[in-house]
Amino acid sequence: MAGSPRSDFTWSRNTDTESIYSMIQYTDKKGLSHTDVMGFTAHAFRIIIDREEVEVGSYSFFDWQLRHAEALRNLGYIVRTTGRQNHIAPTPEELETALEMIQTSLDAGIPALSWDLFIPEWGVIYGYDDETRMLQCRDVRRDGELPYEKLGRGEVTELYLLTIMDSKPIDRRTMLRGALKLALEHAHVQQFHENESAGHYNGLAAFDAWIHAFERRAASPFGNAVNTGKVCDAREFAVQFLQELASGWKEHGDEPLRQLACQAADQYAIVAGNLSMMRDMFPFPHGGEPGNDAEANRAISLLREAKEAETEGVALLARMLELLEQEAKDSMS
Amino acid sequence: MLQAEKQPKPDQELVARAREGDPDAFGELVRRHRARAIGVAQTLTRDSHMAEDIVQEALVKAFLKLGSLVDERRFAPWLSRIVRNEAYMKLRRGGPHGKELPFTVWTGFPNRRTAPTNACHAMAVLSAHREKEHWDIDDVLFRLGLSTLESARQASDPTSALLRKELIDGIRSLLHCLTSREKNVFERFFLDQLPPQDIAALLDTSVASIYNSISRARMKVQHERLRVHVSMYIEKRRALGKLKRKLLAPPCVRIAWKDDE
Repeated sequence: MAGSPRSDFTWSRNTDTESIYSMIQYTDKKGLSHTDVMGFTAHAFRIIIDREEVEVGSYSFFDWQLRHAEALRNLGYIVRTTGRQNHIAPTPEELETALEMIQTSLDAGIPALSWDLFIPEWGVIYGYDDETRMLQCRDVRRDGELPYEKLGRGEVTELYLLTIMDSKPIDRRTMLRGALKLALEHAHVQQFHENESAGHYNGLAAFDAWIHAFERRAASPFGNAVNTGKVCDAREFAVQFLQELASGWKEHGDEPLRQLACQAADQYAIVAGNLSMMRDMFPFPHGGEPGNDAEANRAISLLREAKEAETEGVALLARMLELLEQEAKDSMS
Repeated sequence: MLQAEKQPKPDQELVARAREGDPDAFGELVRRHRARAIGVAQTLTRDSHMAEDIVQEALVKAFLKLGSLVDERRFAPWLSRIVRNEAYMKLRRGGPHGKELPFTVWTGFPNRRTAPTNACHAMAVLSAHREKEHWDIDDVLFRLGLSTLESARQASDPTSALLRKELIDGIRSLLHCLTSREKNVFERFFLDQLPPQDIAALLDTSVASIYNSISRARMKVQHERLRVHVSMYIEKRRALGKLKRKLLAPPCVRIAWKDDE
């Protein structure tokens, strides 16, 4: 299978990672590339799908405060978060907490991560003015001002905020080990119990959920197009990340690790390749005809093949982790 | 006055007893606070006879509206407010300053120590805009207060009373943001607890438009609460000498979303 044809790795469709990358540029870790950030946060290995209809918000169906803090901790950051993911607008007191966090962070020179600034996606806040009561914000839709009182009162009326409090030195090896752990947990362990998952599945089980929706001809054209775009983008970065690892990690004794990374890159390239075919079949935003029998059947076989490759890929990641764990153990004794 | 009492009971206790119908308790409250009330009225009217009349009326109102006083310890400032309200009503009806003085600008009194003459002046400035507003805030507070007490008693939950109190505090700013029609609907829905159908009949309009008014009023109230809260927050920052603004270099998030509507 040919690798992913993508060559531009300077931006991502995953807007939380994209925003986090932009925030990192204001810190001591600005040397990290987009690919590094996608890989070391394990976002390159993320997939969450709703089995009922591949609803548009599937990709954001996770505990933001918990998962974002976890991902950023793996990059050596201490973060602070606030908000609620329940479609309830913030109280005046909650808004005040958020403003305080934003202003503290901006005064220290680092923008804040937020949600639904101009569109229900993640974006960043990088300025404030107490006199005009405006926040300066940017997301994938627009760069502009947002009144203080509108924070958390956008399209979906919920507040979310993450700020970087501190940055600790951390080496790439440690980040890789952490990222592999996060990726494997995401692949195998469901984040939510069945009764609170509203039909959403993560990791390998997400492929089955996706297939299920296609089998029932229930995939929403728009939701399917959005999520195909997100997951495909992530896997393209996974391929790039693993390839860079395979060719770039030249330390003595890293040959086995590089080989595993190379094999894993091949598997993820199958996933990315199949998803990019689906992206062509179901283009954003109108999303084609996922309910059409021929289209659905083709999607199902592409997803089955993708799941098989992803399963192989995950197994290879596990072996890479074993190597690094062993190495860490050896260096301890 | 307070000093004259041998073993003064706290206002709080007297208010509680007066509410239960004890006329002596209210009499005691009157004795304690009458002089100060007259002082307030005199400063506003500069007319001792008028001040007497005002305080008399204010006390009657206070007695009738005792139910709307949420925090029993705040009897004195509450009474002062009623006195001021009465004074402004009188002045507007043709006191020494005639019609140049407005009827009510309650939001103009965040600080009770504001020199009344200055306040009168400020109100005169505002009067041009407010001349046609005949809505009695005390009336609203009264009704809202009654339902507060009722619901607090029913729920025997002090936090619900506190929440209601917050709402009462918000009412003053609410007056600013609603149109007179919305005020009318708001009053009937939230205070009289009339069903939308009845309000529609009363105001000779459709039920749908009443629902619209209610939801608009509700949103405006919420926004007004937010606005006031944010103002207080900014004020606090200013007092602490914090930065007023900060703008970092634009982040490298690519604006890539295409409008698909």
